[in-house]
Amino acid sequence: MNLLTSAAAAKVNMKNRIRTTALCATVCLMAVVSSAAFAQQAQRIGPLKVTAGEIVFKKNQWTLSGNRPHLFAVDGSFDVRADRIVVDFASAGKGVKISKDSIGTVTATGSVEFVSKKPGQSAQVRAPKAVYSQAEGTLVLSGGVKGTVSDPSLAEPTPITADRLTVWLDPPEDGPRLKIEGSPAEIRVTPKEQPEQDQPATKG
Amino acid sequence: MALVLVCAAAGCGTKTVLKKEPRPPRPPVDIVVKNSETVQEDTAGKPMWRISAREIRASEAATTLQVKGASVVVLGPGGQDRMRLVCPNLVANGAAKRLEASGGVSASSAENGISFKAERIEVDLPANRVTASGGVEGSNPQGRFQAGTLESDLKFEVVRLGGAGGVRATINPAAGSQGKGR
Repeated sequence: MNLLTSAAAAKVNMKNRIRTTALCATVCLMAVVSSAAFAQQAQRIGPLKVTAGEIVFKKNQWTLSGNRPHLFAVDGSFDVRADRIVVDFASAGKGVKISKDSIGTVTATGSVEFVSKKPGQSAQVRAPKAVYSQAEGTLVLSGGVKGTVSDPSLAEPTPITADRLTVWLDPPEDGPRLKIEGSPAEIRVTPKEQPEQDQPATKG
Repeated sequence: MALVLVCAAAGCGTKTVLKKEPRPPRPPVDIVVKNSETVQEDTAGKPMWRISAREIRASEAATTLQVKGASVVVLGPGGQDRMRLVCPNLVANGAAKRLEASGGVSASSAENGISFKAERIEVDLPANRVTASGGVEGSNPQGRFQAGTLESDLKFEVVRLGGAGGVRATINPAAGSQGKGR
């Protein structure tokens, strides 16, 4: 059961503002709002299109630079813009075996803008750096993360501020989906008002 | 001969300088070979490339070949197939060890799985460089690309795509959908 569902179950019809502030601490929210907005990229990260001023192929690596490189999913589900984007093939980390032409990691640096565009569930996040790891199944944004997440269950987009944001793109059922770290880290959740449930009819 | 001797004996002593008629310039040797295969070697006798052509026109020194309808295999130091070119027009300069292919050129390297087309491709062996320009389109094992220019070494280990219009590419869907390998 996620945070929103809990709030709904408690019939919290007013706006709830949850502010989590942690000094030098880690806030880990399990199954938090809009992880699905990120999780849509879980099963597959391709096909991808890229545009850039220059692309260099070198030893199973594509380096995009110039003209504000842009990497986006062909299905329109997400896109990333940054000053520099490096796509590593066949380099998923120590001891991890993948096909030599599979995407191992994607590293975006310099004013990274990550936008998830799944209908009804979207996210817009900015950070100095973002790293997608296929082996870990995560997208890690770091260096001061700011953004918003929208979800049909939310009354309004949810602002997020953190030093580091980790998103598990294909999380195990009982595993974490989103980890927010920072000093402070902040997330504001405003669940959508739930309609009053009718009282069950009584006989007689 | 008898006439000369008579003239000399008669004392025809005035010395005449024979004016040499200017010799008409010799037409350049122009060898045209049709439907042939030619291997050009460097000064050490190592083959640089093998050209199959519809027509080869060789200059007098036979260092530069003007080729029509060419299919070229650029050879490595050990004679291995390094890259292939197919083009309508080719200038093969054996002295400079350079190839200039134009008119819509296809290039490929089996070693690195890269292939591309461009309006013009130059191969410079001494500089270890391949340059392509004009509507560069191609693919490598990871995806497909479009660019205005391409620069690479002869082994295609480092390939740089650029150009005024920027670069567009698609990362191979097959590559992207591979298993996680966890």
